[in-house]
Amino acid sequence: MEKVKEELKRLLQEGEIKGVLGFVPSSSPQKNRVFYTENPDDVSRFTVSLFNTPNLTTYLFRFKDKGKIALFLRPCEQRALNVLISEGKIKREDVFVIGVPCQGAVDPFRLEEQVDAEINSVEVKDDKILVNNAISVYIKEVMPYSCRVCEDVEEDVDIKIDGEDKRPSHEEYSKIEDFDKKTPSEKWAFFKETFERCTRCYACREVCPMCYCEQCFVDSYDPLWVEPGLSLQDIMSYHLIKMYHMAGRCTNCGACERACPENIPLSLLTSMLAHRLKRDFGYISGKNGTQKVFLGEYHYEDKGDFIK
Amino acid sequence: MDTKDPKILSFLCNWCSYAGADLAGTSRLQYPPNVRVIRVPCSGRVNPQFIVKALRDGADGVWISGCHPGDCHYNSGNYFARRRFYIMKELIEFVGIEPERLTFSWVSASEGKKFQEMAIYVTERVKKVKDKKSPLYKEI
Ligand code: SF4
Ligand code: SF4
Ligand code: FES
Repeated sequence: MEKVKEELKRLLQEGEIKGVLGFVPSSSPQKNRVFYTENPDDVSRFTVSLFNTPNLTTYLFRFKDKGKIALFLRPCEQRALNVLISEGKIKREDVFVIGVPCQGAVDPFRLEEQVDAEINSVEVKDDKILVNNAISVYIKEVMPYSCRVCEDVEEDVDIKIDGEDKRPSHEEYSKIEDFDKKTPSEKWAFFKETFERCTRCYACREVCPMCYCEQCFVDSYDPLWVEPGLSLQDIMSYHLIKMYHMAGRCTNCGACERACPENIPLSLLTSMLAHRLKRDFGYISGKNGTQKVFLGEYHYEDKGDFIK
Repeated sequence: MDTKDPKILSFLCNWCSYAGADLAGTSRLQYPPNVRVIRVPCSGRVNPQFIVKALRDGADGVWISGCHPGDCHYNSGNYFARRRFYIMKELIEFVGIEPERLTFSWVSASEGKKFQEMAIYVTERVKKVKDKKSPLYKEI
């Protein structure tokens, strides 16, 4: 990390990059703060950890046409960048990618729920987090499911932070396959129990790098895709349509789930998409920056056995 | 028609399945009146969000039918549609909406008989679902 910081400082000083986008510690240790700087002296403040919550590619849109921006990206976030590149939204030459060895990302709300106390300190010890020097929590339990079914990226980084990639073990979507075995009413009951808490605050949309539309379908009056209100039906209509828009674009980075103040398991839906695309089309979103967007192409031999 | 009968919203491509329905009609082939038809210029015109909206607003089932692969009048509309429908179908089933409520088919203009069979099949399939209304239905 020190080597990378020195290099970033040099690049800023020599004007090779315009600014650096990353995370710095905040007053809540379970949630580092997004920070952007153009000042070489600030570079030392950046930190890389499990408590870096959002996916920084989301912020790139704010720096459009500003020059080359360096940003810290985990593998799933590099894939998100690839999607934005293949959709023509971001140019590769406008970003300087700092590859981050990933250990997964903690959901701060879930951690808060687990410890049920104000969090003053966090310390990572192997597969656990020690909170307030007293309570120990398994990292796995406070991470979105997406971190357990993470897919690889064809790496294309400009610089890399040394360190071991300690991503949680790959579970091959067993949770999704188990869920598939449930009956429709069992499935609906699960979504009723978990998604009914949704307040439609749209934090999951705001934080998503793929949700860059200037007018979102939920803000449309005509057609009125989703009625306003908090009935389970309207909540589910929102999530169904949002997920449809995510097909082949969402890289299962888990940022939406980590942003959700209601601890709604959004990554169950995003992982389901990843699972289906991989199983039935051999498609991994954002694997590289040249792959075509899933819904923007077709093959004659595509899966069609569900059509009579 | 009994009002307890299911209401099925169908989107039929103008160039094939809609003409297939016409042929079924002119050939005097009977099919269930549950199927309400919306004519679309191509299966590629069917935004899968229509399915969500239809089920939310009171359709008991949705049936989408277009030209066979290779026969789309705009060459590739149905190939794009196939991927889109696949995604929406997986989502719909994953959240627990009964799979019987959603049917896709390819029916050509010459397949009046297949149209009739499909209309019967779709209606019977929706009737089989235990709960009359889809979980996504909400009275307005
Ligand atoms: S962040 Fe959570 S509560 Fe807010 S709209 Fe998304 S799922 Fe609903
Ligand atoms: S939907 Fe969620 S998991 Fe997928 S890219 Fe957006 S924020 Fe990441
Ligand atoms: S014209 Fe019939 S599916 Fe495209």
